[in-house]
Amino acid sequence: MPTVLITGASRGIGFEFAHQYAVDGWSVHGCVRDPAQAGALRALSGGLVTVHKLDVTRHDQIAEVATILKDTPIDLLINNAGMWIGEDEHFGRFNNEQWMEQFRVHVFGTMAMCEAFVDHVATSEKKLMVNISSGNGCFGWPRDTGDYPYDTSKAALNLITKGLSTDLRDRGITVMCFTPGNVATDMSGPDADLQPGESITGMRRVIAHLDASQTGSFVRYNGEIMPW
Amino acid sequence: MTSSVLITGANRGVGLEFARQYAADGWRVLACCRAPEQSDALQQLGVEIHPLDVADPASIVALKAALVGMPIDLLVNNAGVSGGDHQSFGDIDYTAWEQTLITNTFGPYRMVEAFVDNIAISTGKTIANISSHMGSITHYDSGDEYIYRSSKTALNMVSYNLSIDLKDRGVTVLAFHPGWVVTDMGGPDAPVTPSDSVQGIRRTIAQCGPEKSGAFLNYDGTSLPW
Ligand SMILES: NC(=O)c1ccc[n+]([C@@H]2O[C@H](COP(=O)([O-])OP(=O)(O)OC[C@H]3O[C@@H](n4cnc5c(N)ncnc54)[C@H](OP(=O)(O)O)[C@@H]3O)[C@@H](O)[C@H]2O)c1
Ligand SMILES: NC(=O)c1ccc[n+]([C@@H]2O[C@H](COP(=O)([O-])OP(=O)(O)OC[C@H]3O[C@@H](n4cnc5c(N)ncnc54)[C@H](OP(=O)(O)O)[C@@H]3O)[C@@H](O)[C@H]2O)c1
Repeated sequence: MPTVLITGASRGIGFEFAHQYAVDGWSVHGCVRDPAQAGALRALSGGLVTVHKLDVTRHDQIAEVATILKDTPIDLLINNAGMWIGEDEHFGRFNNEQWMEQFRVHVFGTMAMCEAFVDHVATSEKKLMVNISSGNGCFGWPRDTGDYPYDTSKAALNLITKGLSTDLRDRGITVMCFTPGNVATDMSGPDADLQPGESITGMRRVIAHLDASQTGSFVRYNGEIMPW
Repeated sequence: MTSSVLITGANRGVGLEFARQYAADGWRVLACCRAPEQSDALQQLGVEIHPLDVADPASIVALKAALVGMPIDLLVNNAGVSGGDHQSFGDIDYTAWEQTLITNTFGPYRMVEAFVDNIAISTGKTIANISSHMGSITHYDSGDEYIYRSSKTALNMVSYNLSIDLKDRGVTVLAFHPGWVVTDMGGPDAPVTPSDSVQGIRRTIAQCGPEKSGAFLNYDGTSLPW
């Protein structure tokens, strides 16, 4: 069965990916910041679930997990870990350190994961890298106000996704990014439009049909193509 | 009344040319640079020179205090760095990435935060962020210079968000690609002179009203894709 490695698998969208791929019988490597709290992830049944300690801002931890898995081909890398600080994202309300932290998670974390796991993915059968971006990273996406740290780091994530798609084409790797929709998780709250099940089912359907012609694309959970 | 322009990174390259042209046009020029005592070319223009390091929020706050109540018709966020020699996949310098973001992305935003009141009480009410077509995601088909490119993509998103947040205050926010320009950054083989680049941007700014706020434009005024 194929193998998937997911960051931010403790809850929300990352947990639901782990859940659904486990049910399908995949070998699931779930990365979490605090393995002591990952009981629900460990208890997922279906495939084989392995929990790793990995904070995406800790490049030493990324290297450690890459070493542990050095002989394990990874069919699908899902860069999902993310954060948002609510109204403190608005004009005049955040400092450079808060802003940088979102770059460390969304952009540097994703790049460092791709750098560390490129060989694992290149030696797999499916060779897929999927980055969980956001509609907020899209210019022209309707908004009442700017969420500066979040919007800028997700736009930058889209840029690096496009760059990675060309950089890794020679190695046969397909790289793309998603907006998962507005999903009921801790981040978006219980009143969001979609339940995680529906969003992740949609993204998995897109992933199942990905081929090299779609590398470098930005896609909604339901398969619609997003503009940059 | 005389219009005033505040320019960051005005001691050389594109920024110096902005200072020269606006001064020649009779504007009051507030030329900012990191080392005023070493800015010979700028000093020769006879413009007001202020010390400013856009990567240092305290430096921005100090300039804000010095300019309280003064209308600023145009803010040109020009200061920028290229991101260094380690920006390729597998060889990314994450410390350089942070420093580049602080200058190229956070700096322009902090300038707007500090000077938005000065801009809002002016007649021109315009912000020009000097970005680059290298920040265009649509145009990115090579896979290099991740650091510089992402800092400009993020700057474009700053511009776009500012156009929404400052709309009620009547402020026009524009993002520009200056062309590939002969400067220390652009190198000697670039096809565009600073003079032509800045003339084009100035002409475009003069033609753009609030309805163009949020646009990403080439120096000749044509629009660029995100
Ligand atoms: N929910 C939405 O409507 C929505 C919309 C658009 C995009 N997204 C994106 O979808 C992704 C998942 O969001 P979500 O809704 O599931 O959010 P969530 O419920 O808040 O979960 C965030 C996840 O990211 C992890 N994380 C945060 N910082 C991390 C770090 N430094 N290293 C490793 N893991 C880290 C968290 O781990 P801990 O448990 O350790 O905190 C948690 O597992 C994010 O990238 C988000 O931007 C969500
Ligand atoms: N040249 C091109 O082809 C080209 C193309 C696209 C976009 N751009 C953009 O155009 C802008 C100007 O570029 P240029 O070609 O004129 O570059 P340049 O010749 O290298 O000049 C850069 C200027 O920015 C200043 N600067 C750098 N970091 C600063 C900081 N932390 N605080 C204050 N000033 C700082 C420099 O000051 P110091 O002298 O103190 O270092 C210098 O005045 C940049 O934003 C650049 O990204 C240029």
